[in-house]
Order: sequence, then C-alpha cells, then structure tokens
Amino acid sequence: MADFSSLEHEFYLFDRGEPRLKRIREAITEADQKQILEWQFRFRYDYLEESIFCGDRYFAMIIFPEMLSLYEKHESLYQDARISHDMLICFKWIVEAAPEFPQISRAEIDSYFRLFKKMLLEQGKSLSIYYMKHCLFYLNVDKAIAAADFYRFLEEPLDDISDGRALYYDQQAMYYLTIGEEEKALEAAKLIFAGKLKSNALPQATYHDFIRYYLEREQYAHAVHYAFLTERRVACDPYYLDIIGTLLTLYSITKIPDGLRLFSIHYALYQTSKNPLLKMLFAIGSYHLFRAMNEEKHHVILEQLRVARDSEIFRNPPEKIAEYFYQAADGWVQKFDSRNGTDVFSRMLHLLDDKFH
Amino acid sequence: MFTPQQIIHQINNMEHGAARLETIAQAVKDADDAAQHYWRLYFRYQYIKESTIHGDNFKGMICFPEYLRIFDEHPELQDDMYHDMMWAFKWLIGNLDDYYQIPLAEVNHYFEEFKKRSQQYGFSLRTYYMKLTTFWLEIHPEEAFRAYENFKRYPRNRNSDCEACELNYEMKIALAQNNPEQALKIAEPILQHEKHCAEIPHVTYASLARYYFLQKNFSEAAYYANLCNALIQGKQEFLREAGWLLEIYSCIDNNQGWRLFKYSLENFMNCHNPMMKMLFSRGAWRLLETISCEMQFVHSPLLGVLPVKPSGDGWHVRELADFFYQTAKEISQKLDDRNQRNYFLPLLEQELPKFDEKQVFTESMKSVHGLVKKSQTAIAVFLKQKVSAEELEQRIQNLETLSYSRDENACYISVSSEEIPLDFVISEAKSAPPLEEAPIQGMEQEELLALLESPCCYALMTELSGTPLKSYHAVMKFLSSLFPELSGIVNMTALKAYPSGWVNFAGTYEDGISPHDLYSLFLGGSQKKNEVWGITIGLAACGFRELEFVGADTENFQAFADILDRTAAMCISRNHLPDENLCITVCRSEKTQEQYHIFWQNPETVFCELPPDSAAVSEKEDVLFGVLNLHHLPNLETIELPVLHSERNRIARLAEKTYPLLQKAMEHPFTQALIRLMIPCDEDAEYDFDLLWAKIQPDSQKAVWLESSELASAYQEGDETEIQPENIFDWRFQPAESEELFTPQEAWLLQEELS
Repeated sequence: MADFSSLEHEFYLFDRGEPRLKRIREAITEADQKQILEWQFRFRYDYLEESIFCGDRYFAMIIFPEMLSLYEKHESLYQDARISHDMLICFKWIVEAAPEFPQISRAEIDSYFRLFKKMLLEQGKSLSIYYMKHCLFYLNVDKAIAAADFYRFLEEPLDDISDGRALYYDQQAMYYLTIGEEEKALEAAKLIFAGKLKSNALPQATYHDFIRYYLEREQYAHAVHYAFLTERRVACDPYYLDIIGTLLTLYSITKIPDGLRLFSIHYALYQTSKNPLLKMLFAIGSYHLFRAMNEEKHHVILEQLRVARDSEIFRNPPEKIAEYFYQAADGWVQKFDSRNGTDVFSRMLHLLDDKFH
Repeated sequence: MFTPQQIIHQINNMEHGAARLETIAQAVKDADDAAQHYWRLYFRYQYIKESTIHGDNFKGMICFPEYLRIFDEHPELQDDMYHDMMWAFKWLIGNLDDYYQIPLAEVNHYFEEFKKRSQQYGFSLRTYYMKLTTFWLEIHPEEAFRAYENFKRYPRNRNSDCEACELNYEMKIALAQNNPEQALKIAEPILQHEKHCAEIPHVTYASLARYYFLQKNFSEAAYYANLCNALIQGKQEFLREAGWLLEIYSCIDNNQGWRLFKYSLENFMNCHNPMMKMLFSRGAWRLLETISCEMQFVHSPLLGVLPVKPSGDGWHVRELADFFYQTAKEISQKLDDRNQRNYFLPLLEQELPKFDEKQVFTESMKSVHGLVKKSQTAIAVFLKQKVSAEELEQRIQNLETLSYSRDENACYISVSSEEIPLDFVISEAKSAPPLEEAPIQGMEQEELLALLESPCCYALMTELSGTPLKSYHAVMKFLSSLFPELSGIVNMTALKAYPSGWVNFAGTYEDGISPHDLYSLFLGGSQKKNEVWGITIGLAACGFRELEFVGADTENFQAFADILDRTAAMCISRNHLPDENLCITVCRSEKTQEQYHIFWQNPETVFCELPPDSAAVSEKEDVLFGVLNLHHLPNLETIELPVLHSERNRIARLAEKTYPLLQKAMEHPFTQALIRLMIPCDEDAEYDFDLLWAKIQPDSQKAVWLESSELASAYQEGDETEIQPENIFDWRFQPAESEELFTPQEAWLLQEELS
C-alpha cells in the first residue's frame, strides 16, 4: 500500500500531459495486476483528472467506463464516502467532456447525465452542478431544456461538488449572452472582470463568451477589447484551442496579420489534439482566416507561417488552404450537428459568409 | 406554436405571485395542447412550486393529483422527473392539515403513498415522518411525538427539507414539549443567522413569539413578533404567521397590529387556504375586538377589498370583528370535524393572557435583546412658501399612494416606495418648533436659524421599516417629490438638520444616506469627578437600544466616542444589534494586534457603577439603553477602530453612481479631479484587486496613475488609463479658485454649485 502511495507522489515529477499520463497508465497496470481495488480506482482517477486538465479529454473518455464499472461492481468502493465523492467529481468532468466527442451518441450522453443525477441524489448532493452541465450541453441541442436547466441551476445551492462561485457566475454570463441579455451578462461577470473571482479557466473563458457574442453581432471593437485581454492567457495551451479558433475568426475581420501570427503558433497543437470539438473550432477559425486572406489578396503566407512551413498544404494559395480547413471543419460540423440535432456549428462555420463574395 | 424556451424566460423574468402563477397556468395549457409530456410535467411542477412557495398553496394542491397521474402514465420520463415529483408530493403532504376538504382517510392514503414512493426511489423515511409529525403536532401531540422519534432514526436525503427547516421543526417539537431552553438551543444557528432559507427565520420567530405569548412572557413575545413582522409583511405565504402576530398585537400593540392587518387584507381576500384564512381571521377578530374598545369606526381604503361595506363614518369596527369571527368560527368547525378532534373551536373561544404595558417595559429593560420596538421618526419639514390644503391633497393624490385619508388635524398617507411600505402622518405646524437652543447637528447655527424662519412648517411622523438606510432614503424621496418648495428639514428624533439640496440628493441616491445621518452623539460629564459619558440619540428609531459609554475622563473620551460612533454606525449598516454580551464588533491593539470584543450590557446588570447622571440611569423611561463595555480595552491611543466595510462599499457605489455629476463638473474649470479605480491584481498576488488613485486629464476620458501598484505590475505611476465607471471606487474634485475638495458624499453640494 505504502508503495502505491509513494508511486502516486511520483506522478508529480513528470511533465503534465502525455509523460505523466504514461506513468499513471503503468501504475494502473501494476495495481490491476496486484488486484488492489482502492488503487485500481485511485490511479484511474488520477489518469482521468490528468487527461481532463492536460488538454486532451480523449483519454478521460476511454478510462471512465472502466472506472465506473469498477465502482459499480464493488461495494467496498461505493460504500466508501471519499471514493463516492471522487466518483461524482469524475462524473462531473465526464458529462462536460462527453459532448465534445461526436462519436458519443446523444442517448449515451443522456444516460450519463441520468446516472450522474441519480448518484448526486443518492449522496444527498445539490443538483446545481447537474443542471449547470446539462444546460451547457443542451444549449447546442434544445434551448428550451437549457433554459429550464438554467433557472433550476440558479435555485440550487452550491456544494462541494459544484464548480465554485467563479464558474457559477461565468455560467450565468454565458447563458445570458446566448439569449441576448447583455446587461445581465455583464452584471453576472462583474466580479470576474474585477478580478475578485478567479479559477483556472477564468477570466479567459468569460472573455471568450463575450468575444463570441460581439462577433456574432458584428460589434468588433468590443470583441477586440476582450480579445486583447484573452490572448495572453490562452496562448500555447491546448486546452484553449477553441478560444484560439474564435480569435482567428475575429482577427480575420479586424487584423489578418495578428491572425496569422496566432495561427502559426497554434497549428502544431491543432495537429496533435485528439479532441474533436477543439479541433473543429480551431479549424473553423482557420477557415475564416484563410478565406479572408484570399479576399484581401494576401499572398506571402509561407514567410509568415514559419512553424508550418514543412506542411505541404501551405504551399498552396490561401483559397486552397481555406478549402482544406473548410473540409476539415465541415466533417466535424456535420457529425456534431447531426448528433445534436441542430445546426449550431454549421451556422458558426458560415458566420462570415455574407462578408465573403 | 408552443415555444417553451420563451415561456421559461418570460416566467423567470416575472415577480413571484398571482401573475406569474397565471402565466405558468397558461404554459401548462399550451403544453397540454401540444401534447409535449416532458413540458406538461415540467410546467405543472413549476405551477405547484409557485403556488406552494410563493402563495397559499391552494392551486398547487388542486394540480397535484393530475401531475401525479401524468407522471405515472409516462414511465419514459420518470428517470428525469422523479426527483421533482417527490418534492411536489412532499409539499402536498406538508399542507394536508390546511384543507378540511380532504377527508382523513384521503390524508392517510396520501401519506402511505408518499411512504411507498420514498422507498421506491431510494429516499429515506425521514421526510415522511417529519411531515407526519407536523400534521399531528397540534391536534394529536402524542401521535406527533411518536413520529418524531422515527424521524430521528433516518438520515437526511435529497428529498429532505433544508437544514434550517429541519431545525425549525425540531425547535417546534421542543416548544410543544414545553422546553423553551431546549428549543432555543436547537434554534441557535437560525437565531444567529447561520442557517436560513425562504421561510426561516420568519416562521421560527413566529413560533417563538406565539409560545412566549401563551406563556405570558410579553416582552419576549413582542421581541420575536417584531422580528417576524419585519419579514412577512405583504407576503401571502406568511398569512398564518400574520394571524398569530395579530393575536399577539391585539394584546400588546394595537398600532402595529392595525398596520399588519390592513396591509395583509388583499392577501387574505385572495387566499384559498382554509387554515391560513382561519388563523388570520382569528387574529383579526381579536385585534378588532381590542380596537372596538377605543373607537367605533376605522378608515382606510385598504379595507375596501373586504365584503363588509363602510357607512358614512367609515367601517364599523364591530361589523368587521363579526365578519372575521364568523369566518374563523366556520373554518375552525370544519377543520375540527375533519380531524375528528375538538381543537380549533375551543382555541377561538379561549381567553388571551392579560397584558400590562408597564410590566412589559420593565421586563424589556431587563431583557437581553439589542433589538427593541422602533420608536417613531419625527421630522420638521420647512418650506419656502405655504402650500394650500387643496394643493397638498392634489399632490398626494398624484403620488402613487396605497391609501390616503385626512381629518381636521392631519393627513394619513401610506406609500410603497421601492417595495418599502411607509405610513406618514403629516400635519401643518402652527409655528416652527423651538429649536434655536437645541443641540441640532448637521447645519451651522446661522443656517439653522434661517431655516427656522421659513414661512411654512409641517410635522411628519413615520416609522422606518425594513433596513434603516433604505427606508430613510424612501422617506427623503417622498419628501422631495411631495414638497418641491422645500427649504430644509430637521430630524427631531436624531437631532439632525439638512438643507433641501441634501434631501433631494438623498432621495435620488440610495447610497447617499450614511448611517451617521440617522443618529447623533452627545456627551455628558461631571467636572468634579472628571467623568465623561456619551450617548447615541436616534438608534431607537431604527429599532435598537440606544448605546452609551461610561467611565471615560476628559483625557480619553474622544477614543470612547469614536468607538461608540463606529459601533452605532455598524449596527445601522447591518440593521442589527446583537443580544447582551454578544460581540458587536472588534477593536484591535495596534501594537500586539490582539482583538478586543465590543459588546453591550444591560444598565441593570452592568459591569461597573454607572454615574448617577448617565442616560441609562436617569433618562427617559420609554427608552431602552445598552451600556458599551469598553473598560477592558488597553491603551486607547493605540487601538485600531472597528473597520466599517459596508461604509467603504457604500461610498464606492455612490462614487460610481455620482460619476456623471463629476463629469458635468469637469466641463467647468477645475484645479484637480482625482479618481480612485479598482484594478485586477497579478495572478500570483495575495489579493484579487488593488485600489489606485489617478488624476483625470482635462478634456479627456483618460487619467494618469498617481501611484504604482505593488500587486499589479501593469499599473505604473505616470501611465495613462481609461476610466471605466464600474471600476470607480472614490473620487475628489476641486473647482478652480476654490479651497473646497468635494467627495461623493458631498456630491449634492457640487450639484448645487453647478446649478
């Protein structure tokens, strides 16, 4: 037992991301071989946590069913208060991550949500986090259910499973923006913008919501203001490829050279990411950027794309590159929209169509 | 076309109450027409919830059987909806006792069904036994106590009431077992404001008030009744508590009772819950019986909702009393029949404890409570010119009054300003009050004398309700809209005088009122013994004991006075003075950083001998005092005073709101304009935000930092910054060729200067 404990401490000596994940994977194998249930569960928890926060949730999606099955099969696990609490935390991450993978069907996601809710109720927890995550998913699926969820989320108390006050307000701001209530959104985001509430993902995620809002309404000056505050906080982090994608879309209208600079830095992350949602959003932004370049008759791409110089596609004119990213994005857009039964991402892809001839 | 998303937003943007319930009812209909079962259940649940939590629960009770039927018909939705269904079911069984229309057999059936479904969905039986206890508690206590024993065996679950509600329930059991010590111990987290919810502490206060009243402890009964009264006014869901309070007030305070009675009438008439109607009617009948000993007729347009019609002289009190008695009797009989117990009818006929006002005041003097009955606020209103009675009446009618009447002496006006109900009695004074020699603060003597010479003066009496600052703002708003020719006011209760400019400002900006506007400090002393003491005047009008310090001398009295001042301001900001011996605030030693608690003690039990001339010993009989314990403080010169965070925040809000005034002032020549802005700190900084002063550049929307931040590296002295009004924390403004430096608090002077 003591060995496993020190092994767990060792994880922190490895770099975040793939190196650490690899080490945890080895520990899982070891715990499985020795059949020490608590550590079989615990290492899987570590693995899932790392993959959620290291920027690629793909690994989390793979490990979660194993973890759930272990938990459900063994009474000693679900009778243990700490493990049950950890299981809820994992569930919270998974219900947020699952919608990012179009190969996971809506029925499957719904069943995850149902199970999550049941488990929260069994453990006497608040449903705040359930309604929050459910609302997030349904915003792209059925806005009426998202609306119902949102107001239930506001009524439920926060507890130790909830995401904390910062995200509580971020979620409100985001929701109000989706229904066009800018003033309410600004009010909800007030403490975040004033720096009084922070989290790992905030304030940049809140800024991102406002950028999208202003972008859709063609209020580019406002969007640029938030983009300036956001860029340094999200740069070079694979976790924020979606935000980079939005910034690319914005810069395709306001400042193409800035867009190219950002694209150059992040293209490598895009290539290695396994997260379809993040990849799709980055590809959408890239498509907008190259399409705008084509419109603006920009030709000096290779010199500017230092990082991506070795890639064959960039030897083509912007029109071809735009086409390349369109194809990539559209593939995912079709899958996501068809899974969700809506055209949210398709509209995002075609957001700037009226600006291009 | 059925558009649930729009309906949800519409509903959630509405205030709670009848209109919202109506909108949800329409949504239920639309969902039924569209045959969308998810939304049929969703909106029915919302309907039951709205009716139960923000109404008399009648419509929710009617809706529930249909809701349950639809739920049972759609097993495919049950995984998503069973949690809601069990909550709605819980509300149903929690209110079964209110409805005589539901026979006992049906009550038992519902309880059994709830028990079965609790087990089916994996909820413990804690809630089942809790509601069973509540049902039997009054009419069959033994049965209730048995259920309570079972309740304790089961753990909490997600179908349980909140922790505050459960504590309240356990407290009620202890009261029913006549164990007030145990009850107070259980309720301590509620009474200390650690646990609360939508109906706690309201119903806790009501239960304690009722218990003490029946035990003939009038002082405690009045204390809890007043706390409850401040929370429940105008809310239909608390009609039963209003009924209990009316019974209490019928014995101890007719005026409070009358006020509560008339503001509750509309809710009473719209109520369909028999228990609530019966309890309110019982209280109203008892109150009117007492009033009928003093007067034959009463006036108030608010009575117009009743089926009893007025005669030329107003409403006959006897007729009103009979109406409520008959209503109470009829429902009591039906409830007793349903319960197969003879309980409510005998209660109606029961004689209430006799009350002796002097005895209550003596009890209150010894009581441990910092909160006391509010005294009236008297304001002398000075006008630049006379206003005819007709003109005044016309103006009053143009205001949105809840009720208005007048007799030969005065006008009686009820208004609801920013959701604060206020009653005013306004009468024209034959002459200005003799204030020339009075210790009035806030105005120079010359200005005050000029004010007293105004050609017209009115006397206004009111009682501050809700939070004192907000309420006083509402009073100022009322005065400035009623009297455009105002020249100034003197608050006779707090002994403060203000010119019209301030009244208009305080009526416009809620944060324009400072706690110091509501009280004054006065010093007394004895040269012989080198003793100084100080008192507050005005806290009683906010519902607190007046505070006093004793034991200072001519060397150190300033420090004592500062602490008293901060403590009083803190009480007003928080709208609370804790009970005797409980910490109000803390001082800190500058040297050791050791903390010293400030608390008050009853003059009767005070820690030291009081000087014979001190207020607590010698002053008016109708004012309750608390003596601050400051003797344990070390060297007063090195003591840090309590920090008033709420004041800092108030000034920040005021600075933001009055920024347009500053912008306007900057259109004229000025010596300097400074602005203090809130900036976000670096991510690794100890604090989240820092405050920096900047100098506004003339003819620009920009400012230059006057200092560098140690917590946010991006903000350096000399750099330019844009001004975002929402980040403004404070400002200063000095006009050209002027010595004066205006602050947000003095923005009204700036406003006057500009105009």
